[in-house]
Amino acid sequence: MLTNNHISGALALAPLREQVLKRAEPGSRVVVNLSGVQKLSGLDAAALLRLVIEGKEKGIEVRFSGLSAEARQAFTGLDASLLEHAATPTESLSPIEEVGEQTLDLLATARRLLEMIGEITYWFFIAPWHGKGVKWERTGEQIVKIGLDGVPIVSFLSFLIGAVLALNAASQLRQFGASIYIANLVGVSMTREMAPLLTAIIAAGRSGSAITAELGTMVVSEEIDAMRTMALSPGRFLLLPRVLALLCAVPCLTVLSNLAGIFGGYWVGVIVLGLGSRNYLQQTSQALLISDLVTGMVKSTMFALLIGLVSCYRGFYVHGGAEGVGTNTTASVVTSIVLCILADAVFTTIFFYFD
Amino acid sequence: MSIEVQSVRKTFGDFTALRDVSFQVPKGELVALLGPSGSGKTTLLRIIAGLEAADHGSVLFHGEDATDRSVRDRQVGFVFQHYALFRHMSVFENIAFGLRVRPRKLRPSEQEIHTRVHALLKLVQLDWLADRYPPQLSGGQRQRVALARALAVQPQVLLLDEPFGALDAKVRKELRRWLRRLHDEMHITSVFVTHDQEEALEVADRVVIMNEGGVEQIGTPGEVYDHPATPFVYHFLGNVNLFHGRIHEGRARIGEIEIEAPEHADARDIPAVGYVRPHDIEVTRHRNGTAAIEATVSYIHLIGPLVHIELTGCDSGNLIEVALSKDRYQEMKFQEGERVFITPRNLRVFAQGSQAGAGEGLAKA
Repeated sequence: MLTNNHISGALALAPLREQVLKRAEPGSRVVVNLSGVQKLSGLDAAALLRLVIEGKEKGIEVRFSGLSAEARQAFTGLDASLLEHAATPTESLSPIEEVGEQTLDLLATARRLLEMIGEITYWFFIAPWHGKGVKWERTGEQIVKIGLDGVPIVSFLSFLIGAVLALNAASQLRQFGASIYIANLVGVSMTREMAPLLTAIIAAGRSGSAITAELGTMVVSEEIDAMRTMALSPGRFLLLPRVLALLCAVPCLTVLSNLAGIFGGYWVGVIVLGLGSRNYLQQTSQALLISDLVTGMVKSTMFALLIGLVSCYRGFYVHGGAEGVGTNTTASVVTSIVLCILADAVFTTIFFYFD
Repeated sequence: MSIEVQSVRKTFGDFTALRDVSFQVPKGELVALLGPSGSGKTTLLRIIAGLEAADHGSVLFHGEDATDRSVRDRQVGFVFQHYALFRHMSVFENIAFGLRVRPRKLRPSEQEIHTRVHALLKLVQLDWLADRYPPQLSGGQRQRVALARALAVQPQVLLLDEPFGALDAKVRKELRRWLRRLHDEMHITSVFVTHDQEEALEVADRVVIMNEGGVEQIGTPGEVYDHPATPFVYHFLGNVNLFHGRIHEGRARIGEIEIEAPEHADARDIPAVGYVRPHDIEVTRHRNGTAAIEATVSYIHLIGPLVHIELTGCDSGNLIEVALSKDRYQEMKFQEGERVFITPRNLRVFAQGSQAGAGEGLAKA
C-alpha cells in the first residue's frame, strides 16, 4: 500500500516502478493501493499508465485501487481505455446522485446537531435531578472570558455607532428643525436593533471563534477522547458551560451596548449639536418603551444561543487536523453572523406584524 | 480482566476498516496489535475502548458482553499517540483529573488524591515534575505522564495507541523496556498498537498481526517470527528472499532443490514461491553433494554485526540477500563477482494463489 499523500514526479514513482517491474513475477497481478493519494499531476498519471503498459509487456497485470475522484481527473486527456483497465471504476456522480448525496449530508448534519442540542439540554434540565449538577465554576470562567473581557470593545464600538447614528440623523433632521428627535432615533434603533446585533457580531468574532478553535484543537489532539475514557462527558464539561456562558454574557453585553450607544448619541447631541443635556435625556426616556428593551433582549438571547450552538458544533466536528481547525473556525464565525442576521430579519418581521 | 473480540466488522463509507476480526487477550497479558498503517489496528483499539462503535460483532470484557457499554462504564485506561494531555493543567492536575471529576460519593479525599498522584508520579519516575505544564516536558516525559493519567482511574484494561510512535528511536527503546517492566509489576491486561515489528516482538507476550482489516496470524513473538503463517507475515517481519518454483503432489521443487510440502498434497503442478530469511541461507564455494542454487556475489556490506551479501541467481537473475556472521565471512572470504552455491536451511513454500499479500508488500516497501 502506498501511503504518501503525494506522488510527486518521478521521485516517488521510480521506486514503485522498480519494485513492480523487477520484483513481481510474470503472470502475477499487482494491486497498487492509491487511496492515500490525494493529488496527482498529469505527469504522474502518465507515468502510472506507462507502468501499466510496461507491466503488460512483462506479463504483469498492474492495477490501481482506491483512486479518489480528484486524482482521477489527472487522467483526463490520456488514453481512457487504459484507465478503464488500470483503475477500478470510481463513480462520478450524476446530478441526481449529487442532490441525493447533498441531502444525506444535510440530514447527517441535522442529526448530529440535534444530538448535540439533546445532550446540552439533558445536562441542563435532567442531569441535575440525578445529582450531576451543572459545572458552574467552569461556566463562570467562560463568562469572564466572554463577558468581562469583552466589555471594553463592546462599549467602545457601541459608543461610536451611537455617535455615528446621531450624526447621520442630524444632517437630515436639522432641515426640519427636529434635531431633538435624534434622541428618539438613537435610543430606539440602539435598543431594538443595533445593540443586539453589534454585540452578537462581536461575540461571534471574539468568543465563537475562540470556542471553535479551542474545542477543535481538543478534538484533533484527542483530548476529548481522553476525557471520554476517564468517564467524563464532553457535553457536561465543555459544551454546556460555554453555551450557558454565552446565554448569560451576551445579553449583559447588550445592556452595556445600549447604554454606551445612547451615550454616544448624547455626546454628539449635547457637545456637537448643542441640544441641551436635560432635554436630550428626557426625550430619550420618553421615546423608549419597555417593549423596545424587551425586544432587544429577546433577540440578544436568541443570538447567543445560535452562536453557542454553531461554535460548539463546528468545534466538535472538526475533520482533517490542524488545517480543519482553521477552516472550521472561519466557518463558525461566518455561519454565526449569517444566522444571527437571518434570525434578526425573521424576528423583526414578526414583531412588526404582531406588536 | 480478559478481553475477547468476536468477528468485529467496521466500514467507513466504502472503505472496510475491519473484516470479521476475532481474538482473545487473556487476563494479565500484554498483547500487541501489529500491522502496516491502514490495517485497521487503531480502529480496533478504539472499538475495544468504546470510542468507536462496531458495525457488527461484539467485545467481551471478562466474559461479559460489553458491546453496548459506553466508554465511561468500560473502565479502560487509554494512552494516545500524541499524549492528549490537558495542556492548561499542570502534570499533577492532569493525573488527578480523572479522580477529581468523580461523583462526590466515589471521589477520594483530597489527601488520598495527593498520595495516589504522587505514587503514580514515582512509578513513572517523574515526581519532580508535578508542577510543570505539559508543553514544558519532553515527548518521553509527556507520554509517561499520559500513562500515569490513564492508570490513575485504576482501569481494568490498559489500551495504548502507538504509544511510542511520536518519539525518537533511543527514547522509544528505553520507554518500551520500561513499559514491559511496568507491566510485569502491575499485570494489568494491556493491548497496544504499533507498526514497529521490533517493538511488538520485544515487548509483547503475544502478537496479533493485521493486514487490510483482517488478522494474518496470532502467536508469541517467537512463533510469528520463526513460523510465519502467510507470505504477508514473512514480508512484514524482517527481510525475506523469494524463490520461484512449482508444487506437485505434496512436493515443492525450486531449481534443483526439492522439499516436502505436505499441506499441498493435492496440488497438481501449480506455481509456488519459497520464502527464506537471509540468515537461513548457507553459502559455499563448492557443490558438496546436496542440491544447491548457483549464484554470483554482486555486493558485500561489512557494516554492523552481520555481513550482508547480495547475490544474483544465475538461472533466475533474482536478487538474493544473505546475512552471515563475521566469523563465517572471515573464514570464507568471498569476493565480489565470485560464483557460489547457496542452500536454504529453512524454506517455507506457499502456492502462488496465496500470494495476495505479496503484491501489497512490494508496493509498500
